[in-house]
Amino acid sequence: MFILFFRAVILYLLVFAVIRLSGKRELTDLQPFDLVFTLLVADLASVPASDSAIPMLYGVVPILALFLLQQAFAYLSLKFEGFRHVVCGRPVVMIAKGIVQERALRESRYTVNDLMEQLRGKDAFEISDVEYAILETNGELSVMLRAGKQTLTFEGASVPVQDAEIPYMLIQDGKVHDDVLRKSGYDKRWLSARLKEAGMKDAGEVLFALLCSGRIHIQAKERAGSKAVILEVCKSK
Amino acid sequence: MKIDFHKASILSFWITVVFLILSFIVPGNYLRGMTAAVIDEAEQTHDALMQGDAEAALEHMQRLSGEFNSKKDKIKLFFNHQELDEMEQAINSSLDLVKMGQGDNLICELNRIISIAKHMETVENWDLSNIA
Repeated sequence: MFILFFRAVILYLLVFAVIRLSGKRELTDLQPFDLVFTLLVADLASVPASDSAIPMLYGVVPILALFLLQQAFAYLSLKFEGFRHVVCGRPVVMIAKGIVQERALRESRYTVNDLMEQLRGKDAFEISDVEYAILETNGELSVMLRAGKQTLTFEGASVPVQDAEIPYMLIQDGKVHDDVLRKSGYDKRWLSARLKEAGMKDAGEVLFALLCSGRIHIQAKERAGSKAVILEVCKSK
Repeated sequence: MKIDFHKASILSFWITVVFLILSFIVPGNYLRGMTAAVIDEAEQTHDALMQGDAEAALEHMQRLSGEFNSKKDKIKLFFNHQELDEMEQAINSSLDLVKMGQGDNLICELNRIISIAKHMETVENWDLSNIA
């Protein structure tokens, strides 16, 4: 039984490494060759993992062969547009200027119901609200609403706003993230002064400290009373 | 420790290429080496039996068994274990039979060893029937 356990561990590590090295595309946006790769790898690993009469290499070699193919396809589709169009297809305009493109529906094997379902998923409940809808190569539908139906933005309303800033997690679970602190432009002295201001002795008492948009949100751990403090941070560093 | 995944991916790609090329060449050659020696010794055992030389037959069978046992574990890394177990069984029973002097049964077992070895050889052959 230990052999089966050990084989499963080796195959798990191999599949994990192969999927990790293939890039994050597998997890978020699957192109057809990514989908084939992901489906087959899991299946190939399961057979030698559960049957000790089958040599490990019977699983390892096909997995590595698929990894090679997937990497080659990804590289070629990155370098050559023609190749990309063959393996991934092209984005298809399903609705243009509010008109459903019947031929595009037919070519994509979409019914009007399928289109409506996808539109509802994008919060567009009426076709007449949509200016453009494009079926992307990964199967996602991108929707552009008519001007009158689009969400009002600060820019559209001519309201002056501050530039958005990336949030910095300075402390997490009592541990100061030195590199994040450095990137935020502050130092440890400044941080401990803020902690004292918030009534905390040191970083060990802090569950998290998040710096964002000129404010630092500090929350103490449960044993330190779970107190949450939000401090305004002077913009001049 | 920071890992550059782009570089790691390129490196793993080339390691995979090398590993696959080696896996196409090394296991097949190793297997063919073992099966050729097994078939040769089995045939020599057969000839010795035909000439009524039990001592030479036992010597060849022991050499055959030694050859198989020395390579069995490595071959298990890339070859179906059931077939190897079957071969091991046939070799062990042949050894018993040659010691007991049961020539007729031994010839049957030797033929079995030769047919298993020939089949093992064909598994690594690059031909349409294996691809299909």
